[in-house]
Amino acid sequence: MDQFKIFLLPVVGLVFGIIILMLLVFTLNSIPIFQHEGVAIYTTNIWKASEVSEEEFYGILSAIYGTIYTSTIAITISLPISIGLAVFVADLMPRRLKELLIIPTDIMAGLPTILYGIWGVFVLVPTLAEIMKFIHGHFSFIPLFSYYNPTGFSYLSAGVLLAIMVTPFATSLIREAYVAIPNIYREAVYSLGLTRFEATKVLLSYIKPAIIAGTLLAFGRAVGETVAVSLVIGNAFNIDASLFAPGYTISSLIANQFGNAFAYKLMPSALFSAGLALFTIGLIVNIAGLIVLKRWGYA
Amino acid sequence: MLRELKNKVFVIYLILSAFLVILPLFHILFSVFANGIPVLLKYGLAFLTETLPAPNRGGGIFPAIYGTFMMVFLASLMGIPLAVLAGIFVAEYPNNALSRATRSLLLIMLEFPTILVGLFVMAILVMPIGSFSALAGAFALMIVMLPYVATYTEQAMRSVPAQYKEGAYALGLRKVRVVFSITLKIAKKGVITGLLIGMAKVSGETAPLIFTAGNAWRSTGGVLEPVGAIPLWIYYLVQQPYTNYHEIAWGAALVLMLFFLAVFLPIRLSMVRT
Amino acid sequence: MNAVEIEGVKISYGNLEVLKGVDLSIPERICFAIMGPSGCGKSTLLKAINRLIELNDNVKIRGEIKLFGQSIFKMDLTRLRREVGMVFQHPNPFPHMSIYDNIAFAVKCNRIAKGKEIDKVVEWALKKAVLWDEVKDRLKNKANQLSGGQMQRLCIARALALKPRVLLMDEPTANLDPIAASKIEDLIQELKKEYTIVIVTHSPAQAARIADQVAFLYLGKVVEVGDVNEIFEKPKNELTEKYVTGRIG
Repeated sequence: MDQFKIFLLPVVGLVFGIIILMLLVFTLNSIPIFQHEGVAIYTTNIWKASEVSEEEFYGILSAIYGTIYTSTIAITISLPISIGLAVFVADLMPRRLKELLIIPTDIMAGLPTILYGIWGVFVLVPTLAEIMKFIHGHFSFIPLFSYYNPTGFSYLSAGVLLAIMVTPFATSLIREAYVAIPNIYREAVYSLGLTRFEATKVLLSYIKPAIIAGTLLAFGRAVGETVAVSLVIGNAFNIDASLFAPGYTISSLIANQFGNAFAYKLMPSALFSAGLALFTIGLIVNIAGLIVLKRWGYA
Repeated sequence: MLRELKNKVFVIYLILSAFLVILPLFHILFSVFANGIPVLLKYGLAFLTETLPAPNRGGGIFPAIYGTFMMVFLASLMGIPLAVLAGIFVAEYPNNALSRATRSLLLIMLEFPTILVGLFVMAILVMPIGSFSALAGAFALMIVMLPYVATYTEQAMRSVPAQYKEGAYALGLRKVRVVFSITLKIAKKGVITGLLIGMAKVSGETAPLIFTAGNAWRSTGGVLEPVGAIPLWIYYLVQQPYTNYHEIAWGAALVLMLFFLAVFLPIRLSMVRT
Repeated sequence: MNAVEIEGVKISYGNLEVLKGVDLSIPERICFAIMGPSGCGKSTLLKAINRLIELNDNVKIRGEIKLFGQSIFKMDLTRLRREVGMVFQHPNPFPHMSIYDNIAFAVKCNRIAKGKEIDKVVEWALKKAVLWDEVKDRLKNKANQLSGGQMQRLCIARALALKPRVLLMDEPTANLDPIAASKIEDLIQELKKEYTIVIVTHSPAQAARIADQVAFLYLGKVVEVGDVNEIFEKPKNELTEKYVTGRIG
């Protein structure tokens, strides 16, 4: 082994060290709450803070529910649009004008998330609140729209905001895979007398792994997003099927509750265990996404 | 004909998708400008130099700008050497297991929820020291920045044509010399791009700072004291009930956005030309 | 009536003119070979006939091409490409789709057959391409498990399934081993009884083996065109003679 490599090894070790230490910190700090109540921290929806530590009880099920609910809304909205934009840029835009759409999406992908947050609070939520009131007024018999007196701070607002935030990322991943389809297949598909719709269907099925990976990684981003979501989701311990109900996500729960956590004996540990759950979900989703990408030959 | 109709609907869907993606972006940019510019005009230069006012008074965001610059500077100081060296390792020794694992790790770190980084740094720095600090905030930002700078460095190093390196080795230079005097010099532009992107990225981060930097509204403290940050201020100010705090939040958002665009746009536009 | 009529066709990519005025008449039910050295514009000419060339950015086409008397530029694009099948230089069945679906997808879209009838069309096309016996037990397998020669015959089957009248072949044996290539050549001999085949090749020997008529294309212009015997035995043009005897190309 050459000297240079030996010189670099500690650096790499440090990078790994940070991640391992991180996992360790989250695990160790979660132990008190597990000892106190076991897996109930993940399976119940109770948030009982108390000066008397025996009476404390925490269950973050509503936050886990809200995380998955909002991220699912985000992906449901984002995926069709991401694919549509990718195909639009690749096939319909003249080559010189493509950048006119690609640059804005790149800006969006990098924009500080707090800017989405402030826009979400002052623009998106009031707008959606009006729409919600209208829908609620006419269709409240449908469970999805049933929440009483919607304020706009809700799963839906968080989901829509997340959709806006992850779409640029998802669409650029899909677009890159789409334009990388070897020309021989593009020619083949158009030589068969197919319409644009039919031809695109074949081409999209060819890059299915990239679309799956894009979906997983976008889901991972939505799961981890904190400040923008915590500003629009309403921050309530709620498990409700209605899109219009306020709720919590794991990350917004942590952001919101940690400020006063140290007044209680077990709350910090409860929040670290919430972090551990987020850590695990994020890791699984992202690793799965990267594996799919790698098999496909991109990462 | 049904087939033709389906195709038409499909094309409309494609156009609509483009519209649906671009519309929110422009609305966000527009909103920040439309709400931010009047604030900057109203508060004047004091907006950049003064501290947070009491509700319903004039004032500025200087402590936030100060904190952001200080923490990004400290994070760069700690993180850039580490990230560049990690990037060099992955680029120069691409074919061993450790290198492949590092590469995957960096990709995972890119996507990692940043709130967890904040929580982690709180546990290892804030709790032992007993106080929020600029140092803790900077350390959290460093972890967030690391994978960006490292992957950009790696890609830039890899794009250097092999003949330059071979030429240098043929002269009998040692690997250290080749890497630092030849490869890194040729890859300089890509590496600097990575540094700037990493810095621009962390200067807009909020979540890692909530439990590390603390926050400061009126003071501009030292490395071991709590400090403010522009994104952090926006996050807290929009949750306040006072109109002038909302104004200041919009003004801060404009400052943050201009800062981001000033770094990001030139880099992105220079990519178009090449 | 001629199957394909090419009149004064000029094609350029940006400022680069690749075809500089080409006239050709291709009669029905023969094998018509377009030969020439690489870069002479023969693939471009072939892809102009089903307007696949228009997939490229900044391509400009002037002149007229007629298919059985009708201008291809006035035809519905899907109909044109259904009537003019194409086989490419690289065997390109869709690797992620099954052998069956590779053929059935376009059959369904183009309403060649419905329901149970589709199975019959697939079988017919695979038999026509002499591939049926080799794949009939694994129609649901992915197409990327086939050998290069089998892939190319699958592509021929895929094209034939749409019941085209003209079959374009762009150096269909260039990427195959000699045995697989000779199978394809035998197949072409068989198919030209029913279809008009326009084949592009850079090999004069191949043109001599399989074609009835040959055009020699050089630097974007037709140097000579005629019956295969004429071209190879008594070429009128000196360039043609040099090419068929292997002195240029």
